[in-house]
Amino acid sequence: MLQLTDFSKTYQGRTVLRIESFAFAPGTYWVQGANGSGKSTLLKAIAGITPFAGDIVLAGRLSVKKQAVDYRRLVNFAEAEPLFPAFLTGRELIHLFRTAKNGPPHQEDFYIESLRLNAYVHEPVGTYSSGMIKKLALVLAFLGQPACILLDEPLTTLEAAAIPVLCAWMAQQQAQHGTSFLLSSHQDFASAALPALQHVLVAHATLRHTA
Amino acid sequence: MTRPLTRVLLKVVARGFYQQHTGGLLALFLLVFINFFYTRVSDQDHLTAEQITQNGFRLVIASVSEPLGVAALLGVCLVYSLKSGHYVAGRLRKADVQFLAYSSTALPWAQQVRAWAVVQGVILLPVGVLCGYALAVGLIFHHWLVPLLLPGYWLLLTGSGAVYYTHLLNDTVGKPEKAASLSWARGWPKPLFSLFLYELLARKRVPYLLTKLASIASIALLLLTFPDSRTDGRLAGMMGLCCAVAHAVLVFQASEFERGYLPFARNLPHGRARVYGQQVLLYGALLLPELAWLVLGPGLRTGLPAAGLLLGLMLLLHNLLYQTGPHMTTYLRLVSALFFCVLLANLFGLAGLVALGSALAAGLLLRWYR
Repeated sequence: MLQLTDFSKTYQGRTVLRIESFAFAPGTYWVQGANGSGKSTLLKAIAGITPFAGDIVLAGRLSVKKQAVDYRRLVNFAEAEPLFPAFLTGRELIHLFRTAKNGPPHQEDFYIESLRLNAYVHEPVGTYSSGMIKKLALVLAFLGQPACILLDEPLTTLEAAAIPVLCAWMAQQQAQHGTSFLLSSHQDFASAALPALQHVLVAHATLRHTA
Repeated sequence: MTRPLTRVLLKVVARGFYQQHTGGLLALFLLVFINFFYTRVSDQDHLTAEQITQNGFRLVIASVSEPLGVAALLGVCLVYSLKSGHYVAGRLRKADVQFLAYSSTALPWAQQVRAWAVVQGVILLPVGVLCGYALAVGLIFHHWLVPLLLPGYWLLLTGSGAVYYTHLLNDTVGKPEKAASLSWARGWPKPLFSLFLYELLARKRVPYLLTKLASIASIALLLLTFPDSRTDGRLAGMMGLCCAVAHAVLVFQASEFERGYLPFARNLPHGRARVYGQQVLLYGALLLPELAWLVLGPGLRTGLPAAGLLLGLMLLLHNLLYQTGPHMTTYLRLVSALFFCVLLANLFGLAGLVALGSALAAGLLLRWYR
């Protein structure tokens, strides 16, 4: 599904990640690692929003550097601590993401309904709590027809009742569209909700599969 | 299909641009370009109505008929376009618009450019008005070539801006890593008061240079205009006042920097006197060239009140922002009001008194610091 080749990422001359070759087969991955190990950096690089050396290829044909637009249409991302301009409404952001990601009309309705965003989605984001912004960011990550969704710390600030909803979305998305997921989280996912969860570890500035 | 992106970009970028620049643009148009539109000259009774009209429009006619005038008009448009590019590039680096990098970039390149072209067109409206006016007057007075080229020039500025912004937003993975900023200053001491000075060197070099240019230009202009009054305290006071106004935007940025990056400083066990001392050190260092010139140029006795006025006004503006909050429009109104009041007081030779009053008022306003 995703292939990283000769990947390296440096911050001010210090290499934080060096991955010679790593392949993610289709599926759901829990990216684990200590604080500062480079989990978020890895997800941002795969999302195509931070510079790096090497290449990342989706489905064997779409390079994040060479076919950037097509790649980004298929790879969605939700930040750990999303930040949006305070004066934009949730609805405006949803329209932007759905249009850009080529999602069908009213695709967001299901997500808004199931996470109960209706009451405030028309309000400016500046009036949202951190949990509400997190829910909005998760909705945005599911818009379009993504082949891969990257969720950085998806459970942080999320209320307990919303976690099973998110897990159900992921299971449904994977079953219906074969979408893969890369999740970074310090919290444990309920294994029953995500049965086929595979583990990868970011440590010592590289990435490896774990049992 | 690009409308949601256009709408968001207009709100995020164009509106922000006008919020930040409306005061400056209005002042510029009122003070400078009003003459471009029509130059009113008194005592023209000996001229015919046609000659009076020709005189009134001579600047705008020159801008489409004479090489120097054409260069000036195109130059103003270019500088405005570059300034807007600088603003947008800075805006796109802000944390709250990072979502654009993983949303709008999924649109086809042409659609992104179209959306950005609308935004850049809106940003370039003021120079569009200038060009449109020059075009209309030029055609009325039978100048054809330059007026007819102006729409193309405006479209070129709009299109190149749109392509540049699209490139900025899309080129997120291939850019080489920047060298560590201010690596040469890593071992230097960085006391709390000096942090904004390092910020200027690291990330705000363009505003800093523009400010210093404006400051030098105001001193030079005043000296050229009043060559026989170099030892007059009122001229020195005027220079101090002009330098203070030239630095007003940097004061606002210093306040924003403090609010955004140094909130921890409010938790430090520093009393108001110490905070005030740190402000004096910051603005003393920032204004060192101007202060030195004011004290040494016209002579110590004449220059000292002017230098005090400059420093006092800086402190006053900085501390006013604790009370008003980071609202540019309110701040610019305050700067304008302060400018006219101090200008008047200075004409009566009260620079020293105003300096003292400003410094005292700044100290009193510090109660809003925490």
